[in-house]
This record gives sequence, structure tokens and C-alpha cells, in this order.
Amino acid sequence: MKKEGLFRRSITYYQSYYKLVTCAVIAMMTVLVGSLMVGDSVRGTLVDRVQERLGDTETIITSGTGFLNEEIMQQPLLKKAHGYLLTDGFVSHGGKMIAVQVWGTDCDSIEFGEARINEPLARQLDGEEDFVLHLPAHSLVPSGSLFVTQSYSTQLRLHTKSVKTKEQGGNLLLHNDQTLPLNVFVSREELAEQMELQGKINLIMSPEKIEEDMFATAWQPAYSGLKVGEGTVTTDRIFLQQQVVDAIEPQRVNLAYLVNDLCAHGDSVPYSFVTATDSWNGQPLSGNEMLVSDYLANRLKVKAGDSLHVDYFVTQGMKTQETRSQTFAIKQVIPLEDIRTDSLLTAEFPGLSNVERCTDWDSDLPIDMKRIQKIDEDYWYAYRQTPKALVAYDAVKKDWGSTFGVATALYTADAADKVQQIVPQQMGVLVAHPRESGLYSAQNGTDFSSLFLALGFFIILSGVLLMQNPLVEMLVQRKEEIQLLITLGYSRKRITHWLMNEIFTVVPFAGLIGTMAGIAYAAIILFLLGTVWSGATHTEGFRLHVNETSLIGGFIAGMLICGATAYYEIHRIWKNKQQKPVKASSSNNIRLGLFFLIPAICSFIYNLITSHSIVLFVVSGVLWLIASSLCFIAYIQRMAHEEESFSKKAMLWKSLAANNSQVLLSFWALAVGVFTVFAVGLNRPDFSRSVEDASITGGYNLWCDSRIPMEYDLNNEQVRKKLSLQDLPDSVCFMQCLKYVQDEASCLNLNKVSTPTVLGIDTKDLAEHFQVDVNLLQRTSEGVYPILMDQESLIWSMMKSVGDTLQYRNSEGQDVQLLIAGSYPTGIFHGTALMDRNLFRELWPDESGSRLFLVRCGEEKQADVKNLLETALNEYGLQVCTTTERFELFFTVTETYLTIFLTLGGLGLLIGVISLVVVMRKILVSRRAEIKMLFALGYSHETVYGMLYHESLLVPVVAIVIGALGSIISISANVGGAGLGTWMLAILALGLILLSTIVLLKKMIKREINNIHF
Amino acid sequence: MYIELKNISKSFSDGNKSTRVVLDGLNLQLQKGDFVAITGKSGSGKTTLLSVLGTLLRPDSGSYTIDGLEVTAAKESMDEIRNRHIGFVFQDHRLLPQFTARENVLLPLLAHDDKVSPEMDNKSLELMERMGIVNVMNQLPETLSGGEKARVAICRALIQEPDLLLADEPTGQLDAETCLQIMNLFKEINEELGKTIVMVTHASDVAQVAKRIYQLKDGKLI
Repeated sequence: MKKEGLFRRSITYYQSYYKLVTCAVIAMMTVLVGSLMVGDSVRGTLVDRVQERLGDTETIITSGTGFLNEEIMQQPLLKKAHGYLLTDGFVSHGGKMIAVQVWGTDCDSIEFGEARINEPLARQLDGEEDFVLHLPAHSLVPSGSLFVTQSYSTQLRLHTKSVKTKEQGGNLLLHNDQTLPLNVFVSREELAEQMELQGKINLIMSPEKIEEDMFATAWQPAYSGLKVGEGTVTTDRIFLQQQVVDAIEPQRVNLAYLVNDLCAHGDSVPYSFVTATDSWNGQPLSGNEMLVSDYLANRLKVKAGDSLHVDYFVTQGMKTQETRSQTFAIKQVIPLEDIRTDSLLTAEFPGLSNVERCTDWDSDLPIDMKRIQKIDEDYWYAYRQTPKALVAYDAVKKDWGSTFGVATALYTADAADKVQQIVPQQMGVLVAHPRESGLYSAQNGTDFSSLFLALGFFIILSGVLLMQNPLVEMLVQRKEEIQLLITLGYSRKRITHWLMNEIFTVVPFAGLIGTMAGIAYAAIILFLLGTVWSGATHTEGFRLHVNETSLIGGFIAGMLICGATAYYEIHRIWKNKQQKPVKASSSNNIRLGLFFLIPAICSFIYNLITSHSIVLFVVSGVLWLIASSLCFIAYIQRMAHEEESFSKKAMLWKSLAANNSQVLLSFWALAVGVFTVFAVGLNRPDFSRSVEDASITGGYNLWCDSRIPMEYDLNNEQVRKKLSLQDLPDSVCFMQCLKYVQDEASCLNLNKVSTPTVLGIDTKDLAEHFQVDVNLLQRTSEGVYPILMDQESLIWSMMKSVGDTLQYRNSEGQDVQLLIAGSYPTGIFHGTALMDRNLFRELWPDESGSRLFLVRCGEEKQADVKNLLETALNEYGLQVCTTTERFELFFTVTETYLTIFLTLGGLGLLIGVISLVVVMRKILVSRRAEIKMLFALGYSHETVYGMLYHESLLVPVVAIVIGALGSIISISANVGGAGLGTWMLAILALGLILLSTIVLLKKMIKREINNIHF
Repeated sequence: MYIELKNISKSFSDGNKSTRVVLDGLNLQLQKGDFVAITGKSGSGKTTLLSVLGTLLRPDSGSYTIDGLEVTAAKESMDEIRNRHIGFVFQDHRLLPQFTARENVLLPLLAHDDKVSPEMDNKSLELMERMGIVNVMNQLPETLSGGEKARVAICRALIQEPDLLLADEPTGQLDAETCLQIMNLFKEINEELGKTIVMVTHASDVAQVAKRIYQLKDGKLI
């Protein structure tokens, strides 16, 4: 005979208990392993998305706001790479604006007029094959510069050639985000032509790992548009940046400019090109010296020694132009022909240089064409943009130079060598390895394992209780058996060992079933997360990923929990913990109950009248829970002793009072469980009140995302006229934000974010309208760039804290540290870092337009202002929503998680009810002799059934009611917060719990009574 | 084997801060092959005395020696002493309902080992044959008669060949005829196998089978 045989025999004999233990272990393991699987699957899906987003790309090379010549692709290092012209765009469809990414490519055999779109975009277009693609009207000159054309957007009419699946690379995206992008793939040649960027690319994607130093050896400055002549350097982006000038250290600098007026002796010559330079024919120009052409000298009747007044525009940012003047002293009159021979004294300004007449100029400058006379047209016809005068560079460097550039030509003896010293980063060309960062972000994002373990906590706890109760009952039944074994000389250790072995003959099988069920549970949860609960993730298409380590780990953890529970219960036998009747100390319980009840009532009333503090309501709820439980127990005890005559009612109270601590434990567990599930699940802040809070929206009504950067100041009356916004009431004001686009750090992005999008904001506006300490945005030391982040993004998305730094690169490719100087309450800027606009411009001067602006217009004018903006600025691809709608997006995430908690918690409570019924059954079994005696005395089945039913039902019903009332008290501050749907779900859950309690108890009592035989 | 209880006292608390003295300076000597019956009224402490003898209870004072050696000072543990040297027969037999008669008999052998050796298995068969219950050895207790249950309980008590057999009202639930059969069995065990038996009973006719009869009164044997 082997002991294993004895175990099997015992298991068969006590199978009714082991069945319950099996169910409990399955339930617990399902949720335990399932939660781990959910986490693995979400993580796995995010990793899959990295693959989808990047395909086989290991290295990307970007050119920032500049461009690279296509010829770079001939480099052997890039033979396997692909070059793209990547830009933002938008498509109008069905009255809505769809923001898209536009990929100009030469590797998809796309003809002019054709496009390939990805599946998500195809769904959005509802099968529409022809569409108009709107694009920013790029040129090589940065759009924030003064010298650009008036048009900021252009269009392509396209026909969908085919849909590019994700396997074909349709879901290309460079940011760490799990949401599926909307992509349009067009012919790179067509796109370049449309955007006046012929022969240019701005992105290289390579399947090989290319390090920065490797790329630096392959890169030539000419690829970034630098042109080297005989001792000269120019650029195809017109303006040479300061860092290029610093690197070359030229002997001479030219800066061509269009001035408004050249005035002398009461006469003026309008809209002339003038070049600032620091020498001419070997002669330096300094101070306020000027050389005028003979043409100008004749027109203005000036000579050497005279003064000449120059008026010109300067930009204050957002195309705010200010007219400035300087007076120069004419040093010399030089022949215009001599100036004309030096072509480097001028530049090919887009919209200005390549036209026949002055009146054909296409410029964003406010040029008054009425001032241009025939004499000006004659000059233009003969000499085009040849400058009429030369001024000292130092005199105008500060005004005419900008973040876009400080020179239009450089002269240096060893130009070729010096240009070779420039590294790609100085030209904004950066090498990155997105797969590493993408995988890191995906693998370290929101931990859904822990989240769903917490959300499913009540199911796990109920499973443990459900396992514990039949175990306890079985062990009580086997007390004599255990006593016998002791008598036979079995040591306690051996008996414990035997019982554990017996239990662990069943538990691992149940655990394995539960583990398999956990995979199914995970599949269901993933389906729900992508559909009904998509408010929490804003993601579709989660895929189940089964990770063996998690499976095994979850199984082991579950076995440890089961083992600990079983061992604890067996151990209690040795402690000989008798089930004692509750002592008749009702007066103590009443006193204790009142001790908690009085402050519960007082705090509730006080809070209701005054502060409406959520915390205080929760405290009131907890106090109520304790107080009412104690009072209920005291009431039972009192009634058990105070009934004067012996009656059925007295029998009820006495039986209840004699209930052992197991019943009380189940009572508490159910009351606390109901309280917790409903207090948490229903505690939703009132959304409408939240958005009224000025710190959330700053009082702004509309949130506008512009696909094409808005270079203008929308608070300027002239600008409003220019952009057909003159009908906007004067009271409407805008808060325009500069934007350095990186990863979304809001709760909508499940990936871990290391570099969130940065907004450059006017700190005055911020201080006035939001509860933000803008002093924290002041720079305290050189090289430090302080930012503010909202609290939720900081904790959950970035897992950082105040005082940490974030690593970015500025427009010159240098590493910069952004210091998290403080945090602010989560509001509409959730997910972005806020920085002082001036510091922003230092880092990313080329990001000059605002892609985001907020509008304050008053709620009553909201709809009209929205319509007007969308109509007037439709070329900018404006997406307008209310700040309420924007905030609601983030709100739904929390809301959905609370709903999930309510749902899973409710399921856990249902299992808890089963556990309670098991306890009740155990008590009935122990009272069989008593029940037999009642029958022997002539009590009918119905009478006995009724007595037992009322006795059994009272405890759980009171527990549920107490817990529910306590939860309502605790959510008093936010009763309106949970919507009708949530309340219906809560009421349904509560109803199900009550109903299942009643039904299960009825069935159990009936069965127990029918099982009693004489 | 010589067993001596000397000046044994044992009290119990009744939960109301007062104690009840059950054994009060009790003395008992047992030689090998003794057959002692202990009688007394209900609540006189008979079961307590058996529990002390069976090392299930420690006396509050006094000594319990086997061959002059205090049991608490023995090399073997109390469990081992109980398993190898003492056999119990209970009034309600205490057969485990999920095991067959044979398995119930073999139960003591697994107290310190994981399986039963073939020799012991054969021995159990011999014992059951001797007790006349080999034909029911594969049946569960619920199908056995009272007498059969009692025989199974006796076989179980004897399987380890103990020096001392303790019987607590072994015939309490049996009819007269079966009772007689069981008492004859005990006599046989004592005379033929030379086992020392201490039997507790309140039935005087049952006590007559024993060689010596004591009455437990006021905590002492008289």
C-alpha cells in the first residue's frame, strides 16, 4: 500500500470539498495568470507595432527642418537604404479633416497622380479612391523667414492605386505610439515638384545599423545644400546659419536684404535690394558706412559724404513686422555694373527673384505695389535683384540676421577645406536608431499585468476565500481522523505533510486548468480592451502573446498562494482554534459602534454643507461601514438576550448570536468588498465640473491643431484681415504655442515616453490663465532649459519625477538637457512639456510657426468661432475641438479603468457570495443534530426551511446593504460624475449579487434539509 | 516490560477560572502480560487515565516510567512510543471511512514510512485471518458490522506489536453476543500474545474478563 493510494482515496471521499477547492483555484489562477498574459500581450502588441512602424529599419537619418540632396543615396553606405520626402498633410473627406503623414518615395512604382494609402486611412476614406491631398508649401527657405511666398499650402489630386498593408510597410511611423498612423505614399518626384523641393529628401531609412561616425565619413556638406565655389560658400536655403559661419570663419560675409525705402533729400526709392557686407574690393566697411551705386546716387541725387536713410522690416516672431530705420554715411559711389558682376552680393529669394516684373512679386511681406513706378520696373527688368547699395554688415547684422540665417554668402580662402570641417549635426542632420528606443518604450510602457492584477484583485481574493472555506470545513470534519493519526503515532509534521500532499494532488491540476483558462481570459480582456473598453487604450487589434515565463511564474505564484492558504488552515488545527460563540458583550459593541457612527454622521453633514471634500466623504463612508457593522452585531446580541418569551424570532436571534467567527468574517468580507468595489468604481469626478475648473482649461474654449504651422499672430488685427478672420469679435483671443513634436506622453500612449512633445508658450499667458508657477520656467543657469510636466504624464507615462532631466537634441544636433522643474495638475496640456517660448526658440529656431493654439471666445460664441476658423483656415488643415472634448479624451481613460474595476470587482463579489454560501452550509451541517431534533419535535419541513432561510439571508443582505450605503456616502462628492450607464452597471451588479445570494442560499438550505435522514 | 504511574495528578480548567482535579496522586504498576480493567462512573477520569498512559496527555505532576525510564526522557519521541509500543482501541472504533478495512489496519505502519513492506502486508493478512475478518478486508467501514469494525480496530492496534494495549470502552456500542466475542479476543491477545492490556469500562461483566480490576474514584485507583 502506498500513501499516494491513500491520498486518492481521501480525495474521492471528500470530493465535494475538493470540487469547490478546484473551482476556487481555477477562478483564482484564471485571473492571476490571465492578468499576466494581458500585460504580456499588450507589451507584445506594442512590440509588434514597433515592427509594423519600422519594418526592417535599423537606422534613420533626418535632416531636421532642412533637406538633403538625393545624390546622398549613391553613397555605398546607403546602398540598401531608401530616401523619403516626408511631410505632414491632410485630406478632406465627408466634411472632416483627416491628418495624414505623406511619404514621398521612389520605391513603390507610384506614378504621378497616384497614391498608395494604408489600411486605417482606407477605412477612414470609406472606400473613396480619389482625394485631394493638402500639403505645406515648403521651399528651401524656412517658412518663418520674412522672404517667403504668400502661399503656405499646396494640393495634389490623387487616385488610390492600391492599399498598402502593414506587412508591406503601410503603417510606417517614426514616433513611439501604438495608434495606427494614416499614411499616404506618393511619388517622391511629384511631391518634390509640388513643394518646390526638386531633388531633395529629408529622411533616409536603412536596414543596416549605421553609427553617427560612420555616416559622418560618408556625408558631404554639399548634400545639405552648401555650395562651395572659388573661395566662396553659399547655400540653396538662401540663408547660412550662424553655426556655419562660425565653423567657416570667413574673411568676408554678405547678407542680401529687401529694404522698404532708401531715402535722401526728401526722395525715396521703394523696395530695393541692399546687401550688407564687411568689405568691398579689399576695403572694409564698418560703422554706418555705405557704398551706393551710381544708379541710386543719380536717383536720389546723393554723393559721397551725404547721409542716406534706410527703412526695412524686421520680424518679431510670428511674422510680426516692425519697421526700423538706420541712417548711413555714404562712403563712396560705385558703378552698378561692378556690383552686378559679383553675383554673390545677391540671393535667389523665392517669389521675388524669378519673376519678370516687380508687380509679379509673390511675397509674404506687406509690399504696397502702388508705390512701384515704371522707373522701378525698368530697373528690375535690367538688373533684377542686383543691390542698389552696400552697407556695413555690423550695422545691420542684428536686425537683418535671424535664427534662420545671418548671411547669404561667405568668402574664405580655403573654402573647400573649411566646409569639410562641418559635421552633419551642425546642419541638423541626425542619425538615430529608432528600433532600440521603440522596443525600450514598448517593453517599459504601461504595465498592464499589475494593472489587471489590481483590477482583478477581488476575484483573486474571493478565489482564495472560496478555497479556504471548504478546506476549513473538510478539516473540521476530519478532526477525529487527525486525532486518530496522532494516537497512532503520526507526528504533527507528518500529518501536515500528508494533508498538504493530498491537497496538492488536486490543486496543481486545478492550477493547470486555471492557467489554460487564464489564456482564454486574457484573450477576452484583450478583445474588450480593443472594443468596449477601448476608451482606456485608444488602440485596436491587441494580439494575444503567450509568454512561457509568465505562464510558469503565474502558475508558481498561484501554487504558492494555495499552498500558503492550505498550510495556514492546517496549522490552525494544531492551534486548536475552537469556533467560539460570539460573547454576549453587546454593550461594548454598541459603544464602539456609536464611537464611529457619531463622527461618521457629523463629518458627512459638515462636508455636505461646506467643503464637499472627496477625501472626507470617503472617510465618512469608512466610518459608516465600521459603525453600522458593529451596531448590527450588537443588535443581534442584544436581541438574543432581550426576548422575553421564547419564540421563533428569539430562536432566530439566538442562532445568529451563536454564529461563529467564520460567519462574521464572511460578513465583513462581503460588506468591505461591496463598499470598496462600488466606492471606487462609482467615484468619478463630475466631468462638467472638472472642465469648469480654470486650472484645467485656463478659460479657453477651443483647442486648434494646425497641420501646417501658423506663422502669424492671430491676435493681430491686420493678420485677421489677411486671413479672412475679420469677423471674429474683438474679445476673441488666441494663445499660440510653438511645438517641437516628439512622442505623446499622455495616457493615450501606452508606450513609455522618454522625450515628450515640447510646447513653447508665452509665460505671461500661462501665468494669467492657468494655475502654473511660471517662475519655475525661468532659466537659473546657463545650459539649463526648465520645463513643466503634468503630474499624470510624469508618473505614469514617463515614470519620472521633478528634478529629473530629459535628453533632447537642438536644431544644431547638440545634446541638451531639459530639466523637469515642476509639475502642474493634469489639464488640457496633459502629455506635453511646457517651456518658455524664448528658450524654445533658442533650441529649435526653425519651429517658428504655431501648430497649436487655444481660443478664448466664451461658450456662447464657441460654435460660430469654430466654424469661422475651420472655414478661413482650411488651407492650414485646422482641426478644432472644444477644450471640453479634448479633456474628455483623457477623462475616458480613467473612466474606463474604473468601469473595468467595477465589472471585475462585481465578478469577484459574486464568487465571494459563493464562498459565503459554503460557510453557511458548513454551519448547517454542524447543526444537523439540532435540525433532526426539530423534526423529531414535530416542526414541519416548511417551518424549518423558513427559519433557516431567514437566519441565513439576514447576514449577507445586511452586509451588502451596509457596504452599498457606505459606498454611496463615500462618493457623495461625485454622485453626478458616474454616467447613467455606469450607475446602471452598478445597480445591475448589486442586483446580481443580491439575487445570487438569495438563490444560492435557498437551494443550499433546501438540499441540506432534504439530505437529513433518520 | 514494567510500567509504573507514580503520584500522577491531572486537572482541567472549566473555562470559569476554576479547575477540576481529575487524577489526584494516582498510582498504577503494570507488569508484562497484565490485564487490567478500570471502572468508574462517567466523568471519573477513566479516559483521562488512558490518555496519560497513551502519552496523549501529560500529567501535571508525577512520573510515568517504562522499565524505570521516564517516558519524557526516552530516546524515542512520544509519537514513536505511541506508534511502536502502544495500541489504542476506541469505543467508536475510529475507522477512517474512506479506507478499506485492510488499509485501516495498515495505517499505523505509515506513520514513519511512506509505504508498507510486503512482510508487513503479509503480517496484516495473518492478523486479520486470526481475527476472522480477512473476508471483509477490502470493504469500506460503512459496510461492516459492529463486530467486524471492532475487530478491524483491534487488528490496527496490534499491527505494530505494541507492548501495551489500551482499550476505551471497546464494547460500548456492541450487542451482548458480539461483546462477548470481543472480550474473548482480548483474553486471547493477553494470554496467547502476552500483551499488557488496560481496558476502561463501566460494565462490570466486561471488567470480569480482566485479571485485575480497579475502580477510579476521587482521582485515585482503588
